[in-house]
Amino acid sequence: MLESLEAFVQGFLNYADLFRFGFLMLGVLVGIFIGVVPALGGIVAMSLLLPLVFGMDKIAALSMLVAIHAISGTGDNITSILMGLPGSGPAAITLLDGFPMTRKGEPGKALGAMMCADTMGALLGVGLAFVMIPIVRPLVMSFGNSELFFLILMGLSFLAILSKESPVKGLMAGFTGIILSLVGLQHSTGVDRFAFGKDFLLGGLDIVPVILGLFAGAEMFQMAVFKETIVPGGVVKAGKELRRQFFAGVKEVFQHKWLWFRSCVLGYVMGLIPGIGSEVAVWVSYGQAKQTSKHPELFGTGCIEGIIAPESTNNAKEGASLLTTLCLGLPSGVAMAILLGALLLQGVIPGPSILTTDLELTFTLIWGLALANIIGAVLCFYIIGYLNLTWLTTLPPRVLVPTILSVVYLGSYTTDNQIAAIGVTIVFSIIGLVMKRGGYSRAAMVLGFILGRFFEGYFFLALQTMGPLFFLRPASLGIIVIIISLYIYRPIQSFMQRRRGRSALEEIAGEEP
Amino acid sequence: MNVHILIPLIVAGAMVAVIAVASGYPYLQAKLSVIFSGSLVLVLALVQLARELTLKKRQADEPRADQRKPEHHAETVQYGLEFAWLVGFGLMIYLLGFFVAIPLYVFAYMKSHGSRWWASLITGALLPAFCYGIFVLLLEMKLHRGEIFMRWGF
Repeated sequence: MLESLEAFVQGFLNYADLFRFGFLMLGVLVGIFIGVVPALGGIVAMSLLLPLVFGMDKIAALSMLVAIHAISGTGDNITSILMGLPGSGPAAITLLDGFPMTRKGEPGKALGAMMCADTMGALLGVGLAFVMIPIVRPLVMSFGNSELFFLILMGLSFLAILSKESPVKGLMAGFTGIILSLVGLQHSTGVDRFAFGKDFLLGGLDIVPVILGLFAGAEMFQMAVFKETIVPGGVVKAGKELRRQFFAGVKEVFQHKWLWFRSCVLGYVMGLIPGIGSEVAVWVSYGQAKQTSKHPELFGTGCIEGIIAPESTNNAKEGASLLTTLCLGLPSGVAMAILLGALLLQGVIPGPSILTTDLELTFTLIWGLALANIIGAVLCFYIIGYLNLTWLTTLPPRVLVPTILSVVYLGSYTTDNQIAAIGVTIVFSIIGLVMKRGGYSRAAMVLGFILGRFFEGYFFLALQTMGPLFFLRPASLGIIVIIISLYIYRPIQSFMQRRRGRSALEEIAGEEP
Repeated sequence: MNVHILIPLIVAGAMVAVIAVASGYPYLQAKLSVIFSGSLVLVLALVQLARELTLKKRQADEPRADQRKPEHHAETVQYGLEFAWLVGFGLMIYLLGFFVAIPLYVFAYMKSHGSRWWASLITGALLPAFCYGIFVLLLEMKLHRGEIFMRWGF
């Protein structure tokens, strides 16, 4: 225990070295810059910088990569909130409530809440890492294909909840998303499903062109038709007012401390499980926030809880993902796989032995993640509050539409270097606009699209490896209970409220002479 | 026809096609998820269609609040025009490549939508320069050069 505490403190003190701190800062700057460009997330930046890692100081190199990964999501969220331009799955969910807040003239509040939830989520991730190290191995090992399948099912169970207007429309959009995710070669049989032999479809539709089309493309299309600016009344607050909004957003996180804490713990647990990327974790978090909110009808219209929950989850998840990558050698996603490569390049062998041989490095990187988030939040505050990026939202559509559309098409193309990706974006821009006009949830479609392939894959894997009674494993049953309780929570809550109201009325009636 | 009726109708039609195609797949693993999801969406689309039709009957004289009523024809024309810009830009990129299509499109779009010529020209020049700086110089990415130029050997 004392040894762990010593490594924990030493991990922090490693950043007192200016050289290492400088590389952490460099990672933060690269992360912000690359994050704001659609489709150029942290993964691209990390893979580009990976060859530089060889021969560099171990802590400096790995801290730089961790910082890029931690901050690129924040950069991505800035364009998502201000311009409705998401570059990844997790940023698309921040857009759902962040962009409407910008349109209502509250961009600072949305950005403040996003950054505070991000930073505090990462800090809690560091705290939890210290507590979780002894139990991480048995917990991770208790998760098999069956549990992963039920976790995906938990995410999918939010399909109906995501639709504001009607659950039928939400389910329709979500299951259409699942069908779209099945386009391409089926992994276990090699059957070509709806790809019609086209090379670019055989690998499946890429998430980035789909999201860019559904959200950014559709918004630009509508903006062009109705000649609207992002903020219709031109009421974006600048300077002091924007900073006041920013702090109001920060305050909102503290006012929703239980939602924040719940989302962080959820993110942390999901981050420990290999195979569950940010995409799944943030949607589950958004769903639970909506399901347990006092005003679920406000979600998707600019509700601050819709920003706090996924952002806290996303960053708390990173601390846990880093822990499983280092301690078990099991990366939770592509970014962590790149980090795993960097560790090997540096001669560090990830695995349980790292807890005895390189415990200090483990804590150093976890601290790096937290410090990068703090520095990133401060930098972003200055960029937004003083450079006032929100002026972009007041640009007229004749300037905004061609500019953003150029970036959207470039972003789509660079995901796979396929010109057909632009075609996919155009098709999904039209689908997105039709869905918006018809009151169908684009978020539900994205959720179905992200989870669809996992759902099918884990289902067959669980069936093959554990047989038809795969759902009887204790951990699976635990997740099934959570899914059921999420669904019965609201009816029970309203029943209790009705009963309380009725008994109060009876009491008043009884007191009357 | 109303967009609220048209959407479930198109989706239902598409799902019939999806189920028909998937039924022909040789393995159960390949067709199970598609047929299950397709059937579910088909049922949901039919339910939604029925709801819209009964709603339309009830509200025959009352237009929906979420629909923009006036200038319906002008709106359709506007949709068509913007659709042409959207698709046209994609085609321009395919034929001429990013660094010719972007300045041309930005300039033409801004100018035709009422911007001053110098503003259109400056934006049209700055945007590709910015993209070139990031994607080509910094990230060393190879962007599409355009079918026409590639055929000519550029």
